[in-house]
Amino acid sequence: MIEGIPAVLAGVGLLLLAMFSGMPVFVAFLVVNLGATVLLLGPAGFGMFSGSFFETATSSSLVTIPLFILMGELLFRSRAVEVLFQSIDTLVGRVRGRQYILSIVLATVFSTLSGAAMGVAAMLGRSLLPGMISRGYDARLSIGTILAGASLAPLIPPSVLVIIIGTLSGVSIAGLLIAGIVPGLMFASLFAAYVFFRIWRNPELAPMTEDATRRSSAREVVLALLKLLPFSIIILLVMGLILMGVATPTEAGAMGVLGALITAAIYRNLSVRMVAESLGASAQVSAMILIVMASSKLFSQLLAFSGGATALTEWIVALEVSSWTMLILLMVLPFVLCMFVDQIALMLIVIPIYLPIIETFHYDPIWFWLLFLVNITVGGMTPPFGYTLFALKSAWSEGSLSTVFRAAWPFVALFVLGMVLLALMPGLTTFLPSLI
Amino acid sequence: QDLKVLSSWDQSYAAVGEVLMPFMEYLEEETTADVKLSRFGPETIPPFEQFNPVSQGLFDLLYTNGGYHYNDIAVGMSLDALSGSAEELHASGIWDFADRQYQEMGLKLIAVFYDRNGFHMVLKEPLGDDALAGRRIRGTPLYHPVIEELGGSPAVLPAQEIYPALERGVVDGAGWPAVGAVNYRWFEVAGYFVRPTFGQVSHMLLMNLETWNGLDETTQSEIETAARHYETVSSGIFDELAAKEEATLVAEGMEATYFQEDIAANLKSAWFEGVLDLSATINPEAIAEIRDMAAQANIGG
Amino acid sequence: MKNFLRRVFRALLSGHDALVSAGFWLGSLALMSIVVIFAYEVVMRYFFDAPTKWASDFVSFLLLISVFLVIPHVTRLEGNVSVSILLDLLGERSSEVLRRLGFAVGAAVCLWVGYIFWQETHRLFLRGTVTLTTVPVPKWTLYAFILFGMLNSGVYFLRQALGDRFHGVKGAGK
Ligand code: NA
Ligand code: NA
Repeated sequence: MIEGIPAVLAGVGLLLLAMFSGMPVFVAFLVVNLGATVLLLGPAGFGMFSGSFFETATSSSLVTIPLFILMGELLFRSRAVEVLFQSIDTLVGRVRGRQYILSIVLATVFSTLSGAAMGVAAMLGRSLLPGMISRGYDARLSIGTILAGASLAPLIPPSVLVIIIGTLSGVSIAGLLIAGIVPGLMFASLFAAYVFFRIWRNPELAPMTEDATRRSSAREVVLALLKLLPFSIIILLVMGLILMGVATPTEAGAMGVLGALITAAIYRNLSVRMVAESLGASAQVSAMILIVMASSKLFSQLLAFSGGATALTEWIVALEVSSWTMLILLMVLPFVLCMFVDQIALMLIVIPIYLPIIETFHYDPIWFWLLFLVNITVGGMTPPFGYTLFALKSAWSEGSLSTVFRAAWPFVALFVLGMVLLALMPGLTTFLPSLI
Repeated sequence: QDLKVLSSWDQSYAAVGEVLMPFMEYLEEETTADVKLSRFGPETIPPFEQFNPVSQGLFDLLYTNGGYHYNDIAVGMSLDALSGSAEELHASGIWDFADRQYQEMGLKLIAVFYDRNGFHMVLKEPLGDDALAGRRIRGTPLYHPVIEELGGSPAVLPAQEIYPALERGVVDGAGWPAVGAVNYRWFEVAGYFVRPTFGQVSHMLLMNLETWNGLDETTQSEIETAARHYETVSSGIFDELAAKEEATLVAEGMEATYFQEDIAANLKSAWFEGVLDLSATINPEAIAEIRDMAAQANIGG
Repeated sequence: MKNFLRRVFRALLSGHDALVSAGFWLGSLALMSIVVIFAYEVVMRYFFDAPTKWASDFVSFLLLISVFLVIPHVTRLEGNVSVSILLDLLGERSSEVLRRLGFAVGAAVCLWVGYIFWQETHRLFLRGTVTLTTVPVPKWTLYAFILFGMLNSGVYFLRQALGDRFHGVKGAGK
């Protein structure tokens, strides 16, 4: 029986091999997990296997995923997204790349509020993305902005990951939540700057529609604003209900669906047929995402069971290196592991082992855990494994996963760049919390 | 001998870090055979799915609360309804009875670490004249009878959602063991905790029956002696933890808020009856026997 | 005789197709029920201070039900997420072989998982285990949906591995 670090390497290697042979991702996970169950646990392990399937498929926090996908379907089929594009064209038509900024903003706002990066990536992959591509926007840049915006979610409150970090590390949750604001804004500006840089180098990435080049009349502007109203209902419903404490983030997803139905009715596109088709399409997309999650959950559990992840973490923590080298190692570990392992499982394994070393090196806790948070978040959009990537691909039926992978890389690089900035300038994270 | 211990909570939870882990060390010292214990947490198996893997032998020991597997056997959960010490639990015969019941499920009861400080609630607003009337209180099914008895509406939320739900006012309060609010940092979002507390929290240590039967007699009796001793020790640890917890909550700006006397008197029996009724839906005969034994030993509601 | 067997065989295949289509529609309805239940819960809790005890539990059951009723349909449409980089690089013949091989592996593991869930469902049924929720539900009823989903996905993978003659009507139920 293999144990410890070799078990981690063998598991990850096999998984990569199975995945790149072209079989469905969930099948690849099942192959590795069933094999590992037999090897590590024997037949008694099948109970654990089925328990992990059941537990994942019934976890209430994942309910947000189908709800947001359904919201996206309804918006797409009711042509609400088209109206949104037109209004933005009329209002800021002269800004090249405006729709990219729109997708960053929408992805950030929705995923931040709901805490469901996957659900939002799928929602926008279904609603916004096809519209952008058909308008001549670059597919990869569009996908990148959606993935990056959605991945900002855990940085900005409300954030379940921050609550778990606070619980496990004893750092102030309120402090961590406030500390995330400046980095969140910084990342969003980095993404916007990158988009404008790319367009400046290659203007063809952002089409100028002809009627948008002339100045809109006052009447057109007012009309465009009016047309935005129905769409705002959804944002208001989702955002307002969460902020006012009327609904939990999960329930707000359902309220967003109601909002999308109202929007569709206002645009006169509501019909039984439309709703039925939306339900069918969203049920398919969410099944694709959740089967991957259910099949992969056991991988994290087996990694914990084999002691491999613990051994790896303990090995790194015991290395005798300088403060900065240690910081890099402590960040690279979750960055890599989170590509394969569930974020919460990883935190439960790693954080207790990290705690003493943070004191040894006198790292500022808020600064350190915020960097850690960004790291585990980016894992979800780093190829080849990433739930956010799979979610977006599931919703974007016309495209291929390879395109999604290529779209993600530049934004992963931007995240890394941003983390370097945060590491070098601790004030960006520690200043706001120091005020409370 | 290497034994794998599965615990329902991570080590930041005091019942693990301050009780289970010291006990594991103690047990290693107290056994003459070379017994080594290693701990696995909820990242290996989610808390509510842990019972079967241990009874099937994937792990040797399980550290949990009876409520987490009451759908398989409710005897463990009924221990939370009682009001006696671990010694009284042995004297009443309930401990041995529970052990026999668990053995039928393939598990041996090793120890019951009682936190006699029990359960309480954190609230956003202090208690008024009408207890919890009109308030939404988070609680697992275990708490529902008490919450409803006090006029509140129970709402089910997982532990991690309590913080944001309190912060935004989705719920007005949350039920939890008296030790725990510091760990979850609810003092950042709620101003009050209720007194008196109710019930007591049992942390059970169970061993896979085959593992137990595979141990030699010396080791078995050493484990039994060590566990019996630590049942008393742990109760003291929990008392210290609870005192420290309350002091921390007060230092962080929380205040105690008190139930009116008649309500407080009613609370104890409401808890006892509620927990036992729920347990009886699964194991009616066993719970009836426990009820009798508890009444005779005077450790019931 | 040969014709008769072929007809029986076609009937079996289309029967399976119909079963999976029915599952797909029921799964979509489960999704709609989630929205309805949540809307009801929010209204009851916020306006009447009377949250239901069952809403959050039932919603999570419906999530499981929806996923496993729909997944065979997704498998039938070859909609599951996969990395096709190697398949795109290979020539047509070798990539077809590899694809078929992938389907065969998919069939094997899904049927295996189906078998595991058959045993677990059976065990839970005999024991009468209920869910650990406010309103307890026999756990085997939920496991049965996973059994349905994995078994039928396995059968579809098998049909795809065996080739065109075993395919159903593409896009059926869409
Ligand atoms: Na957030
Ligand atoms: Na990844």
